[in-house]
Amino acid sequence: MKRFLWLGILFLSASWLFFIPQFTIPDAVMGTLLVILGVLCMIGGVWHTVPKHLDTKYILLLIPLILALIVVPYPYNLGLAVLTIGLLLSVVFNRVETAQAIPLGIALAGVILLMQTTVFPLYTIFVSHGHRVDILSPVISLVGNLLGLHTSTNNGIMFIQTIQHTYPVTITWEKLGCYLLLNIFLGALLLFALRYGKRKILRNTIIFLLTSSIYIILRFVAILYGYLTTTELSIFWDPLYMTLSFLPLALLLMKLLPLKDSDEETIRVPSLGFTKKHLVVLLMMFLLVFSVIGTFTFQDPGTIKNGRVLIDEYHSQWEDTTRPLDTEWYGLLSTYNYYSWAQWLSYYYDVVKNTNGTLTAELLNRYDILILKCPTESYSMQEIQSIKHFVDNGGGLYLIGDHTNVFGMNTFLNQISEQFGIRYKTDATYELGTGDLSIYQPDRLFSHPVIQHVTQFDFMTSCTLEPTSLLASATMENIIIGNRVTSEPGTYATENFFRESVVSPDSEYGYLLQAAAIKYGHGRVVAFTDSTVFSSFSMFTDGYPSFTLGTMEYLNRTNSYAYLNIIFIGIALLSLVVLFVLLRNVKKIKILWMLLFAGLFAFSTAAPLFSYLTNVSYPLPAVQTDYTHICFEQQHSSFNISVKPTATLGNNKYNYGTFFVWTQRVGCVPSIEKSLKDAIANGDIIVIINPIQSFTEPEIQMLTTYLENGGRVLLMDSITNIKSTANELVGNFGIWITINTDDHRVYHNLSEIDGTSPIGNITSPYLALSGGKRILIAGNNETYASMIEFSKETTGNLGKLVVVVDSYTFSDAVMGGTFTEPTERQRQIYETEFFLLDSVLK
Amino acid sequence: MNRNLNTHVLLSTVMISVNIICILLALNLLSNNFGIVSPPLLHLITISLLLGVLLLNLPLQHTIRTLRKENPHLMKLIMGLILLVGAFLLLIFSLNQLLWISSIPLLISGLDLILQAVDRKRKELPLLAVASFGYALVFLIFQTIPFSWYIHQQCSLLASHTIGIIIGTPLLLGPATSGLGILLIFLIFLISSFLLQAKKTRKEIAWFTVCSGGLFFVWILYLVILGFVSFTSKNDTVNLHPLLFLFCLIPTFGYLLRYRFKETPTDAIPRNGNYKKILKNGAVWAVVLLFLSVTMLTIFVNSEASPVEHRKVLFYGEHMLGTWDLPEYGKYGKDAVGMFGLWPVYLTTLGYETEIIVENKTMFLDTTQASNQNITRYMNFTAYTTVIESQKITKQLLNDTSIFVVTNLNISFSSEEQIIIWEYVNNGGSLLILGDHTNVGGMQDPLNELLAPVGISFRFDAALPLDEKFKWLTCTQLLHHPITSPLTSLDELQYGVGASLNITASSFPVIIGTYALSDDGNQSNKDIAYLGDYEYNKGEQLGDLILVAGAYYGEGKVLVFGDTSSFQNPAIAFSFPFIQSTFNWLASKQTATTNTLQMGISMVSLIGAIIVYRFFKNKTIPFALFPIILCTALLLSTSLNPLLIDNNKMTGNIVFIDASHSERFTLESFTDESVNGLIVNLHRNNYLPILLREFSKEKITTSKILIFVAPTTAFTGDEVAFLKQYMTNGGFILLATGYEDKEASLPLLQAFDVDVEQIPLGPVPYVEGNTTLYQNEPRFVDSWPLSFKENQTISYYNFTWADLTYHLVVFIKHGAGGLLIISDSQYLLDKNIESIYDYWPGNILFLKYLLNELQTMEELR
Repeated sequence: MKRFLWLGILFLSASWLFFIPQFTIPDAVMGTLLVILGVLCMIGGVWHTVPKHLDTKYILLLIPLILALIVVPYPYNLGLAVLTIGLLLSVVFNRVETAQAIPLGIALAGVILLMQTTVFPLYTIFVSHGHRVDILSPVISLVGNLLGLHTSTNNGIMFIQTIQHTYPVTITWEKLGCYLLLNIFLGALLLFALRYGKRKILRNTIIFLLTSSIYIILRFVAILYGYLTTTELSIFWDPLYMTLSFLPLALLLMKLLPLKDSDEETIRVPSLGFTKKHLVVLLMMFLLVFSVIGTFTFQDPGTIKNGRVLIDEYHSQWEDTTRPLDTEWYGLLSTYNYYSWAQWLSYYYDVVKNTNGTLTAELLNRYDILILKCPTESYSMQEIQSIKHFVDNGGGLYLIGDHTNVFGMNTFLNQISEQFGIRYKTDATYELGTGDLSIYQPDRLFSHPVIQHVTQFDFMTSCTLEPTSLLASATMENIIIGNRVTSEPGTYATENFFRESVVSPDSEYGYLLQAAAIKYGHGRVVAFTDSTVFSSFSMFTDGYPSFTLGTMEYLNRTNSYAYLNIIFIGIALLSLVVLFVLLRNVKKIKILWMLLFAGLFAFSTAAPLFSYLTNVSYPLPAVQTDYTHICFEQQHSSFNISVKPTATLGNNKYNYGTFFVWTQRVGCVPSIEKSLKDAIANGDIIVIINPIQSFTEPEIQMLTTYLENGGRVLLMDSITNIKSTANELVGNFGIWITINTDDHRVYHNLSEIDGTSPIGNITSPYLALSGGKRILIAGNNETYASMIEFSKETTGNLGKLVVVVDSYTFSDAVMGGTFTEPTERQRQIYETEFFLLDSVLK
Repeated sequence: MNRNLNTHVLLSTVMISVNIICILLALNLLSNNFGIVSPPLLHLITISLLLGVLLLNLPLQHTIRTLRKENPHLMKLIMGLILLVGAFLLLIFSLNQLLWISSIPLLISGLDLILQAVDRKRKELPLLAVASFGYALVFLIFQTIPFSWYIHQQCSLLASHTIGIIIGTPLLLGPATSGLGILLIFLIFLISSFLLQAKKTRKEIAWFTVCSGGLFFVWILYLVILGFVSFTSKNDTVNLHPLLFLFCLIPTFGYLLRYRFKETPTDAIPRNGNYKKILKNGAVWAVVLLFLSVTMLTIFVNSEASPVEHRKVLFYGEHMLGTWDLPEYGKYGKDAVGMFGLWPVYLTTLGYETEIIVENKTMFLDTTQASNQNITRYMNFTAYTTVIESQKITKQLLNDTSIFVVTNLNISFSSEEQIIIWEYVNNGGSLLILGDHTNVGGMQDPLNELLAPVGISFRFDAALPLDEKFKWLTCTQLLHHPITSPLTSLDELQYGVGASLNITASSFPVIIGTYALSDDGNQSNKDIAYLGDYEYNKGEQLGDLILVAGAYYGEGKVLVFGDTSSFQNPAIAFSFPFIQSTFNWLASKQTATTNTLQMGISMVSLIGAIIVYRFFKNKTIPFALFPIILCTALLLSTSLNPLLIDNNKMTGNIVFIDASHSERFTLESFTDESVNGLIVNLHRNNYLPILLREFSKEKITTSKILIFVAPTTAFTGDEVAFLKQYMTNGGFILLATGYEDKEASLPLLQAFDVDVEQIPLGPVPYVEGNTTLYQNEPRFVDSWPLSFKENQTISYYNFTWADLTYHLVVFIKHGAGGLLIISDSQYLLDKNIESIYDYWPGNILFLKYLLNELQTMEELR
């Protein structure tokens, strides 16, 4: 029965593949099923090895457990939950001797899951810093050839020759299934540590490592065969296939390490008495865990600088910041530039553009932040040295690259970034499995200052980053480690350097580093990988403004307390040494209990504390120069705002992306606000499109106050909005949206129009307005835009409510996309928008 | 105590069941009985399965402990381990399906010996060893004695047809699709169990009969199910086979329920001094006879070709569907390749003298030869083949002919001509006949009329592989024959869509479409060559279609192909080894007499072995010896056969395109990543390209040019030394590699002080707008600059940008030959030179220019 422990470890380890979005969208049902299976196997495994008497003091562990359960988000609190259940059941089954294995098995499963959770962040960082295991390529190639494949290795890539293709295959930790293996190893280590003495632990660990090393190579070859047969890349990362592919390893371990020869038939659980030594141990354990967390998560708040920003245009012919986005220039390049981004930055910082000079030390000394975006030309050695000194002396350097080394920009950026230990790779990223654009959602805990104010970040095909050395890897701050992402190498054979196919076995996938920072001397560097997102057509959507401000705030500081992280490392090491001395004669179960007790307390204290410190130290900056903020309210509206180039391919009659972006052409800064309350708080102008949600009395009151205080509201409705609630709002202010009809005579064919009488009539409905001051009037004397003004004599504010029909006119279906070269008719519609925004509302 | 005993019995029963299921599964997998899976994958699964069986049964720690100390069973243990390792080595390293299957009894015997030595006997292992050995013999017979395969096929067709009539659904299934192969394995297992039964009482015999009947019943039931199931795709028709496997377990385990496992004698290993006694043992002689039988059955006697001066191949060039044109300048893309013209040309490289009979020589040459254009050189048909004018086949024409080839004949030979042809065959001549699918061009009747004396006929169908992805690669079975034996890959067949063949008991199959559909032709579908609907309709034969068949007639031989693809111009560079082995066999001395004698001796020996074993009283012998002898005999014939088959020395304008260094191109025809465009252009320049699947110095030495397209396997020091010598002797090497692939080529590049620099130049020249203006310029895909020493180097393509000159094509002279380097891995691929729908004139011209330069150098030396 003890052999079942191996199956238990496998199932528990594999459950993470279903809970964590590493390769696929989480599947809680499968994950839970595996946890249940794992727990059952653990119960079976310990059935004959149960403690005779359990000291009820052990239940004290529930206190830090519950605390940690609150702090740690789902699904990372899974181990805590299972352990809590195990401990609670041990109370229930305390008197039932035959059922002791149940709580013990559950608790053991909980501890294994908890251990796996603890190591998970380190695994994430490790793999995101380097996926490939090129050293194994020759070995796997050799084994593959023995087993009938035709393989070779070249530059660390393995090539498999078949009749159809010569496939390039990279050997990565993910393809080898190392995450699952690591989890199994952690479970195995715990079992060995609890069951055996030092010699047997070493012996069994060596057997485990040897067996699993051979196994993962054979497994990889088998998976390759599967891929060659099916040409389905998901065979490498599908959680179910991965779990099944490790089942033979579990069976093998059952055979090789049957766990029969434990040193004791029953686990002796000592009573939980505390001496002074134990209290010191608990304190040291607390310090150890606390300082380890501090080492990784404490962010030096630094000293705030003056916010003088230099954007280098001299080396860049892409994403231009100089030509304004106005009401005359249209087409791809009119919005595929950084004008809006630079303009917006200038509202917060003192922004200067370098268009005609090399980057000398003298020039850089006048600024606090240097932005190198999309360089298309090489930097000279003097410039590289100047930049290096600039950062060393406390400057902030912001590097913005893009996919596949397009226009050579990553090659040029690497000239700079490699000086600080960061390398841009020449790949392109997509969502794993679908090939769509990837989306990043930051974790609640331990967010980097740059990303902490971002709730979601939509990528538009980035490249990835990697550290240039081990030291760089250790000191690098991981701002965005994207999950469920795949990276395809670029090619120089195509325009924009994209490969023709995005499904190739030489891709890397899983956790990929998409944004990173590093502290160098007194300064800081941030490297970002997707220049497209800050283009004028997309800048004010999908978390980009918060990311930009977060980055600038992070860079606008010199390092002041960076030594604190080193102190934390010192404390951690010291605690470890002390623990090593103190714990020599303490029972293993007791050590485990104390580690859990102190560790969970430490975590529950440190995690919120350091997150809070980061939050307080790095708030978003205040606006220095006023601008017109136009908020698109989502709570009552029914519209979609997508500015991705692919948006125009779908049904775009509900998409108002172009209308949204065109507000920038008249100097507004648009944003999407989830609630009316947020829109009122932030906006100079509020836009409500096709309202379908009822307006409550307090909301109407809130809006009235807003208008009376000089606020502006633009409400647009459409005949297609059959659930319209617009009149609920505008009716309060004396404007009514009415449905009128137009009769049209109809003829059988065109030639009959002159002369013969029509065969009948058809009627088409349309919206018109009554009440208010008429702004837009049609030829038939119908009103299409009306306005009510709200003036407050005490303050002199003039509020405006403008109502427009039909909003369909301003949808992408009519206005086109943001790259559209407009027709004359579209230009007239644009002019209407500009008239409403610029002449009426601003 | 009782509970422990019950648990032990239960575990033991489970182990017996698992072992039996796993071994039966392994035999089925290795026999490719479970449908469309690539043989290497099946091979890997079987290895894993058998490893699992081994680990399940073998007490590892106990075995190691036993090995460490002196004990009476040590010898047995060592023997067992040797057998086990030997069996696994055979299973892993051999490329022969026969050896794979024969290694199973060896493996089981080894395992049995080890378990005996560590005192953990498993009663079912001897039974499994005998059953798997029995199956290996049956499989061997099916592979080597065509008549047995014919009976096997006919049984399946007959049974399925009968069931079809009974259930009212037309059904015609070959052994592979009916599951007869699976049934056979179970049946052999059951018979072995019965034979090993210690006491054969009436009850036992009755129970055996019931269970055997049960097996047949299960099979019939399965056929009924197949008759009723409607399949959405033709690939699905074989997906139910695992179900039959599970069904068959029921009667098998039913029989085992009453089965008493025989105790194996523990003294099976001979001890010192007992060898003389063993020689008197009848079983020893059975082993000797078995060895003789297997060797005789598998060795290729008289397979060497007749003397070179007798190798004349005569093609019948009249009244046929197809042309004899050659690739030429002025025809590009889809129309460029031609049909049969290269076939006689390529045969000349093997030393054959080729002639073609036509009724009007002038008219024939007008349609075949390239018209004169402003081009200095092109392949000339008459430079390779003699065109003979004749209105009919005469004795004189066939007089000194070794092989007479008739292709796609659409007007019957006269009776007189037919008599002459068969007389020619009867006197030792060889007749090669090729046809095509669904009576296209009206060829079915003329061909069948001609073939009547040997009972082979073309069916009105198209033989289609069931696997739409891998086509014939996973659906073909090669029977043991001198034609198929030298092939290293099924891709060398280059088989397309042709007719399947009917044979009689006197003829024999050579290549079988195991998982294939005989898609009935459609008489009304004239526009697309009478082809059917490409879908499985009830009543169409499914499985085990004969694609290539042969027959002996008098002193001569006949070989019939249902499809001509392998011999057509687009395929010939890939199928050349197959063509070579086909013509070698046709030109060999093997006759009906030698063949019958060989099989006769073998069968007599086998029957002798059985009789000796059955009737000798003294026959105590370790059973392991039988599989050892079986494997030894197979290994012997596998090693000897390549020496017995004639390998002609090649001559001519041969160009090898290397595929042995895992080059980055596809072996499929006319895709973006193929090299067919390169091949066609070599043909246009009077070169004969052949794909080099294994790096053979002997072959390369015979060639003029050797081409490497982005190799990924690094050149060894030995290879580099050889290639330098090859160039010294006048050979030219063309190497295309970009920076990203250069590592494998570095040993060769470094030998000439050349390097590919890490400066991505991409698609040179950089053209925006109207590309047609540049269509006569060379165009690169993914280029990188070359760095080299100026001495003895010619730069054939370079450009200057920002005051820097980048060289992309460079030639370095070495001895009488040299190395031509193109710094673009994708330059020579179809997408850049010429594909079926597109071509780039600039690259065709540039390639011609480069080849002209090489040829000029060759002429000057």
